[in-house]
Amino acid sequence: MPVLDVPTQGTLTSRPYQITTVRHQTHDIVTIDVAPQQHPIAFRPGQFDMVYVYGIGEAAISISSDPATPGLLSHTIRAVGWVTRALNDLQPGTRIGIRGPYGRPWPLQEAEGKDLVIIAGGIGLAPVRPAIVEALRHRERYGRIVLLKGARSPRDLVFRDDLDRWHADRGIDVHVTVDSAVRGWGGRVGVVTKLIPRVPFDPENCVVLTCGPEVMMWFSAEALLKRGVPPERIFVTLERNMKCGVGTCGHCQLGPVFLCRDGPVFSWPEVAGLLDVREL
Amino acid sequence: MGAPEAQPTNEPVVLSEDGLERLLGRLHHEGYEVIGPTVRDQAIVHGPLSEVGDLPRGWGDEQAPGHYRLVRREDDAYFGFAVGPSSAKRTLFPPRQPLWTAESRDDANFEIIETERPKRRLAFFGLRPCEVAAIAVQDRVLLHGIVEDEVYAANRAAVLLVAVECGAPAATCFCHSMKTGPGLETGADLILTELLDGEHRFLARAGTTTGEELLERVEHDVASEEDLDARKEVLASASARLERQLDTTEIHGLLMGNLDHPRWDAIAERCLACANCTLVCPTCFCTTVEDRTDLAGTEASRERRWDSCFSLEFTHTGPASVRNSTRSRYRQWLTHKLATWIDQFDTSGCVGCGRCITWCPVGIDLTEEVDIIRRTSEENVAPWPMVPSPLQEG
Amino acid sequence: MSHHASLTAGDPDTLRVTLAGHPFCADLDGGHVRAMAEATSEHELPAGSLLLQRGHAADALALLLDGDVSLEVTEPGDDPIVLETLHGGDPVGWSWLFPPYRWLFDARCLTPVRLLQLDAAHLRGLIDTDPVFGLALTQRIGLLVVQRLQFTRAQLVEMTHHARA
Repeated sequence: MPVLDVPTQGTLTSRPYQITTVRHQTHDIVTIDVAPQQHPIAFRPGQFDMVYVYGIGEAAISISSDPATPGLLSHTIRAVGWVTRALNDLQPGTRIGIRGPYGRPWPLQEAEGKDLVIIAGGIGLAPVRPAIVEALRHRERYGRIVLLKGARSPRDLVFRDDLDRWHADRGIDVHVTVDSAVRGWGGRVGVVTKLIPRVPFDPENCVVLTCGPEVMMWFSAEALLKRGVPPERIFVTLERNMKCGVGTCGHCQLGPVFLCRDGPVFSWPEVAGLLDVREL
Repeated sequence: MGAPEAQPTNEPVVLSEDGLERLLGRLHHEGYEVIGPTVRDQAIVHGPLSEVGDLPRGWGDEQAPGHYRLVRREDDAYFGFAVGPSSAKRTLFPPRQPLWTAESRDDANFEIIETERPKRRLAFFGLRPCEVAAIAVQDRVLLHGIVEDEVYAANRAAVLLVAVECGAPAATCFCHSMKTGPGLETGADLILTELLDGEHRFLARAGTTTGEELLERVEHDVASEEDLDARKEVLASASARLERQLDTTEIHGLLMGNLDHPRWDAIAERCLACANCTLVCPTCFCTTVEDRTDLAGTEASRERRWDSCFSLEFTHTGPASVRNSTRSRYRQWLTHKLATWIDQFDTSGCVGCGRCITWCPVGIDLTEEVDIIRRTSEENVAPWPMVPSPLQEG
Repeated sequence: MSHHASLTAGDPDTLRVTLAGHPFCADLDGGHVRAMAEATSEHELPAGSLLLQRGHAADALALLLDGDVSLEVTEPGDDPIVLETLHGGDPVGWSWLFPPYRWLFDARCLTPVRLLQLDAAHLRGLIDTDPVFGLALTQRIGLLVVQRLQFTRAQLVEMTHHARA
């Protein structure tokens, strides 16, 4: 089947997809692999879909799979609201609706010739996973590739297979840390931002992609700036209530921007001031 | 919509009272569904117009913050009022919009059935210049964003606009501040001016070739110097009655540099977060979607409906809402309308119609609030970073 | 300090250079580093050994050179809870600076650990007699406490948010 480019038509109606695999990542996070019932649609790392569960509703979910295989689409979902809880309970073979992809992707091109630093907290690894996969496929384009991965506890770690594989991969320098653990864990304990001052990368020649809770990204940016990373090379991805995905429902507004239309990926100078205004 | 039409010759003509009737008849004859002002439930609202008698002839409106009354005029003016609570938004982007239905075939499968969206042939008859401006603002949001909104586009596709210049601004109006009225030069297919001096008549100008062709099919006279002078008099008198002002000088920097101004707290003490202002606003476009199933789960549907940034649920993200306080929600509405709208759509979201002032149950007046913030603002307003919209730039 | 620690032989000059090169001593006055080095020794500890023990006298500042250490607290009936892991370049402990000079947590070596041990009584004596050194050292410890507190708060935020979401 031909792969279509980013669609702008039919944005009110979902396309049918069939769930092929449900992978339980943690007690409240699943990755759902789906196959399109029509043409696969190309996406870029960092973009998201509006995912519909029959009769329940829709939620904005980042795409977590390899952009090179748009016919095999994955979404990694944490059970938080009605729709995401329903998504966590779906079985293989079930049909869901998807419209998208939407949003501004990660600026991978900008990282070419530079170190690529990725900071992910919790389920925040899902939206950067396509970027990591894409960067490793074109390994020669980048300097160091560094992944700083934080999780609340060892049992909250997502994509463990990937982390193990990347650990063994000389092409990427992986540092995993958890907020809390008992002794059996054996790895690092502490917030992910603690890694920023000491991990080897060139602060003056790097691009940083961060994804996680807003507070984590804020602290990460502070630590990165302190280390000498230019603010415009720091990128964050933001989350707000979304209904449309195309900048017309108004829900995801943050001051001058709509997250779905102008983001969800932003450079630090674009949003730093906005994040400091309470209840904006 | 579509390709810009050829410029009409724009020769002003004059229609009699009968001419107005014939113009309306002509629209019906050409298959238009005509919508215009009519009296219902003690207000002048948009409704179907089948004849000139449906217009609010002889009615005026008395408006003030939190106050709206119909009043009998001393003349027989057809358009002797300002604006009512409804606007073209109600027709072009209705409060409830069925998007699609779905049928479940078995436990695991369903099929989406798209809702048909027949292209309507709509004519708005008697729109005020501020309402024409509001349609232009909604066009920018819903037609010229990163996608074209299917519902709005279907309704907007074949719309004909017959505007009537404003000779009766209300005390809540401030269109001259927003440069949307009381007169109108372009933006409608036909622009009328109701002349009440001497013989009751209408000066008519075509704004498009469609309007020009329409005029050709309706009996009319060439406009005289007196007719043109009478129009000037109508507009001058309307302008003189526009007392309310909104100083828009550097308004973006003013508001965005004052996001922590104590005035927001003062407004929040009065604001009920009732969302009336967003419902009557002719440009507010926020929506939410509602998914339903029947009891058996065999049929599901999705409907889009107007939403408001004043509702708590509007920003619900994860475990809670982002804008919990009324302060933050009023601030969102006002700063969006007057400031960040400019970042997003390169135009103000306000057309100066004054509806939000009139229909606010506690009479909050945005022009007054902006003025207070301006007078009590720190001298050096911090410049606000403009965020480019990369997707819009292609 | 642990009794398992084995002292590594090293001449005073090498020890002083190692101390001066530790991130904790970055930008510290050379004279001050020399004064600290007078009561500094280098040690190697095997994996699993206790570096600090709760309730024991806090009689030294440890500066990690290599290896990983976990800061732990034990709740009876549960595995020890790891509050934070510390690594080469990190200082361990500040209880030696404040009365009653007693450790509040355990610190266990997760890997073989190489460290510098600075005698607490000596450091406190230097602080008392040399206010300039006292300020420089307490500022460093103050910064360390602030950083650890910030990290701890960030952990708290993350856990609270996660529990609500």
